[in-house]
Amino acid sequence: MTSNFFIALRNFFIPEEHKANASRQLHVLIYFYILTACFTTSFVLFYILIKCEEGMVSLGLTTLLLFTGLILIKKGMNLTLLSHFFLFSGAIIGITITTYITGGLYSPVMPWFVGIPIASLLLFDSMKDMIIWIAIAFIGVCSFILLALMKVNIAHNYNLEWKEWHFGISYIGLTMIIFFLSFVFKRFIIDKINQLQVAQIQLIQSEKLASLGELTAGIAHEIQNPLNFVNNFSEISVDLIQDLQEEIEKSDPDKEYISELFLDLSQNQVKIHHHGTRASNIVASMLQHSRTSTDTKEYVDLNKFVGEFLRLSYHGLRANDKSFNAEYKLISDPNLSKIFINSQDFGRVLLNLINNAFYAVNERKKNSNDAENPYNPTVVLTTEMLHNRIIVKIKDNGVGIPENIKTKIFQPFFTTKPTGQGTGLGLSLSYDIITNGHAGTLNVVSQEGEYTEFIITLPLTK
Amino acid sequence: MRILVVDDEKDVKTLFLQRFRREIRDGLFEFSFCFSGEDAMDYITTNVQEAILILSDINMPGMTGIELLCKINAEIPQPKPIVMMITAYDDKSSRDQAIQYGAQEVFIKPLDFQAIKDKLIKLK
Repeated sequence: MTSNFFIALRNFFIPEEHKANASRQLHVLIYFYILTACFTTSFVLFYILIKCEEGMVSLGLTTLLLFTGLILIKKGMNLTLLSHFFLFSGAIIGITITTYITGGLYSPVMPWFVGIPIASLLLFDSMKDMIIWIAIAFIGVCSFILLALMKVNIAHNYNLEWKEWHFGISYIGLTMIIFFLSFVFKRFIIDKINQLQVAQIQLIQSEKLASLGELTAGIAHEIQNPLNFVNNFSEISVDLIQDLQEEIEKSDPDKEYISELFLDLSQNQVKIHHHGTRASNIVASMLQHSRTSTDTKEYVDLNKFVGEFLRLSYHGLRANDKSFNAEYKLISDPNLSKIFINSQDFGRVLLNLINNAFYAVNERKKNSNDAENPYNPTVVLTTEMLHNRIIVKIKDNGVGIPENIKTKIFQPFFTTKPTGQGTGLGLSLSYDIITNGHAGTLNVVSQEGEYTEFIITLPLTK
Repeated sequence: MRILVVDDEKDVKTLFLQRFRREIRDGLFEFSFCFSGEDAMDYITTNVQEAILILSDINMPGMTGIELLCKINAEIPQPKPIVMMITAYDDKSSRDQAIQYGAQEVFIKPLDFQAIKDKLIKLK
């Protein structure tokens, strides 16, 4: 109810042209003006009660200025200027003069100086504007201390019988204004953080989709190969059975030929099964990649898994860029048992690192035209088990990482690719998946112009 | 006629041998197999007169089918073998590129062996 009233009041002062997208600064400024004007108005009434004519004049003038400011906001005047105007009315006319009128350092208005730095912090974006008003507040406070030390007599100009009320109302008013403004500001910040979180989740999803797009082409190629075998071996089998039929129907069947046909037939069924499984594995890994994250971990044959992603990455890139080519190989440790990982997340890491490696060798290839020492783009993956740790290395002889950006590569949104080609989230996501998701480490060793090697280390969990 | 098949998929050998079982038995075709572009190049240079026709996959790690085709054009003396390509990417640019570099035909995976057979017999 009350908050609706405040929002309606606030919206009333927003200039027509900014109604749709009012800035945080504009909201805060309007609240400042309204709240301060309300308090000065009530203070003027209080000063009438305690017969403080000078205070009535200074705070009356402040109130007038504040309402003028509100009208100027409605008219769409520059916000920084209006913020200065607010502090001028509030700090100079309102606080400094009223403090001087009501007893200097011993005035109940004195603590309001606290409000000046706080208001300048909330109102201004530029450090310079802020510092001006912090300095003014500081000078103001120091001057009153100095005047008191020099025993300069400053009259109270109000009925001291009301002293306790005067102090009380002044302190409560100050506390309420600071509380309310901090509350509004906090709401803004929380809203902003929520928006950012939503945006971040969307970005991560779009990063996944982008890499899925790269994958689809690779998958199409990878599926055509096994399908080629499935289709052809099954057709051959039909022919073989026809041959068998003909042979059996003969008066003198050739037993040796028949057993040869049977051998071929059974061999074909094995091949069909093998390539069918291969195709379904590819589809399964594609589905895994696009699905949103789950926390489920499972046992995975790492050597097979790494090999699969190496091929997918390679064919994906080739499908998108016909001129792309590179040698790749997998050196796998045969002693590696199945490991317990979140295969979907881990696959994403592999794909990111392998794609990066191929990208790096391709970049170097584009710039090398040394006919005598032809550049041989190569990506090598190594799996290894060492002292209860599993190590996966992805090494390329590509462009390398310059020293000055090595510390930045794991930061979100950092990318060296041309605009629109990379989200800059690949490595930061990978880092998160390995360190937080799998209690492992992700390190990089690189020599600019020579090579880059990413090293994933995972603890062997039973 | 001797045909050299180049593909990094090893099962291609079994497939071709079975598909052309009758033709091989009748002595119509003779097949050799290489599993990479580099191997194929070695084979062709050492057996210049033998391979009359080469059927090569385009997408292979290391030397690709297209690179093999270019190398044959550049390094193998006349009479050059006839080269036909195989690819899993059914798109115009792959086909155009292969034809542009001198491939006589581009077959798409999954392979239609009847079409290949017809083409080969016509050549003979």
